[in-house]
Amino acid sequence: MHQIALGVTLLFLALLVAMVAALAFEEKLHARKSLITGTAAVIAVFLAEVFHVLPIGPVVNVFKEKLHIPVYIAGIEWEVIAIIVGSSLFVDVASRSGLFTWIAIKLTKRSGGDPRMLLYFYSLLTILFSAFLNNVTAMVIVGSLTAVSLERLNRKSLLLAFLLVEGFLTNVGGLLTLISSVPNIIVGQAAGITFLQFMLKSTPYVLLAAVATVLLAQMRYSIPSLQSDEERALAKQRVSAFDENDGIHSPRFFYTSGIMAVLLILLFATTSYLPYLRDLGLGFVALSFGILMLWAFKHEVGKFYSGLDWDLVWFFMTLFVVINVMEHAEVLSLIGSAIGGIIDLGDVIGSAGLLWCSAAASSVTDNIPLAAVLAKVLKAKETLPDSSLWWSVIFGSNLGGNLTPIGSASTVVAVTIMHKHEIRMSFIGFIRAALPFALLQIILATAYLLLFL
Amino acid sequence: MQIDEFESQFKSALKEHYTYGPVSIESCALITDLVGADAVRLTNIVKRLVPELPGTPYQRTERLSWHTLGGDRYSSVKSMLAEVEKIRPDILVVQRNLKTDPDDLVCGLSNYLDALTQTCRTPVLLLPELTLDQLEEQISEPLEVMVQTPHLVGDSSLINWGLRFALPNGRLYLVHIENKRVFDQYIDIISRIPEIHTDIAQDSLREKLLSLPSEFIEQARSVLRSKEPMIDVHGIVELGHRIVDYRRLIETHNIELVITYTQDEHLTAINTIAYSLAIAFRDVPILLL
Repeated sequence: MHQIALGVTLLFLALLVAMVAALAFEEKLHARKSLITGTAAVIAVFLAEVFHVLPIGPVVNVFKEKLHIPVYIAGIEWEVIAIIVGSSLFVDVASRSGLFTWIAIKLTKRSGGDPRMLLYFYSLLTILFSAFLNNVTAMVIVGSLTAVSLERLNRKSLLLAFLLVEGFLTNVGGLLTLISSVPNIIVGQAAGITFLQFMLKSTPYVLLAAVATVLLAQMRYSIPSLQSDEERALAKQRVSAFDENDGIHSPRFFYTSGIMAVLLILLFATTSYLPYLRDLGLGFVALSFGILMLWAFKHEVGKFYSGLDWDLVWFFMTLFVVINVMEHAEVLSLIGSAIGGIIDLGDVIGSAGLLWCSAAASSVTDNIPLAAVLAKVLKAKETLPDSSLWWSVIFGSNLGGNLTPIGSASTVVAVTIMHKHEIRMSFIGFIRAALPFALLQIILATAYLLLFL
Repeated sequence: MQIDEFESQFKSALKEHYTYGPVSIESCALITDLVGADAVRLTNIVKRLVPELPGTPYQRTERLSWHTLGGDRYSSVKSMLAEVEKIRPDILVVQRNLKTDPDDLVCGLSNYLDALTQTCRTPVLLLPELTLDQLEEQISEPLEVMVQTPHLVGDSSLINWGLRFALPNGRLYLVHIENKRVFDQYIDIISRIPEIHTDIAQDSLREKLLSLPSEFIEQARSVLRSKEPMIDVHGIVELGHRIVDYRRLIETHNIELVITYTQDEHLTAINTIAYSLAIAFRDVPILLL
């Protein structure tokens, strides 16, 4: 890598700061994420060429063949894109089978309409869905059901409390597996953490944080439990009106989706141990399952392709281009030396400091660029795979999202559902409501990190 | 993935269920403007319309007490309501055009009936607009009973009342007619919105409008097959013109009693479809709940 002048590095740092600031004010700018990162990518690549930052030339593959690939394409982490596209396709097709609504309604009926039981079940559902689908889909499914079922039970006054808890738990559930959130995928790939290793380390914390969050919500919002037999009978009758089979149009597809979902999770968990697949990686597994599921709708696959969140895909692709340029412009080294100051404070304060800094940063801006930058920085510092620093970034970037309504995509969805049901929730109002929960989760994460990781 | 999409899925999964609950009538009051022997004669005719139930299939015998409020018992709406309040019957059987010239009631039911349907929670069985002799000839125990309302879904009481009159071995028609004129108006508006595919909207809307009452009726039929096997229950769900199509169904199936609902939390009784039907169908008894 050739020497870059400090002025050039600072120029690119300014561009990165501007992009992150624009992402933080995405709502005010009325511009989609992909447009912001796309614009930053265009400027970054152009400036990189002007200042000779990027090593322009043919790319050499493993067969020593020289390929003419545009320099900005080579910088994209295609494994991450493959996981996101494959998983999104799988979840989108599988959701048409009625599988997720079936599980959600079954649990609703099992609660007997008791608000406290409903809180427990919906919390469990939120964690499982955000762990194995993604946190936005989890929030959309559980949040929508919450609104409908609480209305059915004449308990709409509890909707705010339920949506807040579910929003907070999506980010806790997002810590359960390697594929539960994009920061996990990015940091996990960079650190070389396998699916199983990730889950074994994260599960105790997820359980602890989930129980603490639900108990705190139960106390703060006085979620009642039904007392009399009459109340219980009425509530049970009301929720029994839900028909879990309503969304199942083809039992065969329903069962196939269930089996495929279990298989996908098992393969994700064992990919790093299986021959062939261990080399092809999680992205291949996700894409394969996405494509296999599309056979259920073979005549209308276009609908699913257009249903993909292209804003998100473009966001990742252009973000990786920006980060690649920043790496060559030595911006990441500069950030790394700043973070190095925190890390050098020692195992205890360093790890805890990185976690809290990551949480604070991801509360005001997107946690994905943050995770991408920090993962690159830690990798450049040759951080060992079993270092707790990786987990500082994972915990911080996921849990920081609970501090503000713009901190994560799922809390944005929670606030959207609130507004849809005419619940007023200001930016400050959300922070006031969220602060005790977010602090509790971050304190627990810090303790867990220091004691067990 | 849209929030709306999942909310719709969950709302669609929410099915209103029919709850079987036998209706018991122990006290019945006839309000007429006839007096003396004519009032007594009318009471005896009307007893055929509201017969006492035999011991089966409800497994109990009703002891029905009758009260006759003849034209000499009240002189104003207020005094009539006071008399009704004293009796507190389970059902009121009311003669049409109470103390009003029929020629003055082309588009209404009379002040007395308006007051009963709007202020009184007691079901009102409105007699056909016939002379005493015609009533004597035509009124019999109803065997063909039609329960109809735009709010049939989720309303078990309507079906239970229908059941009370169709017992012990009559035929019960559960009818739901969706207003086609309103449907067409919405489709016309949708056809002017480029973002919404008109054909898909039309098919989906029609399918959902008709499937909800169809599913409810089917579920009610399945309950009644086990609870009241002697009653023949039919379901009719259509998109059409309410007055015209109800009239057609009444004539096609020789309906002897129509049961409909005037209670609507958003409308006063006088503004409900039941009120319009009561004015339009003057030749068949109508029970207004």
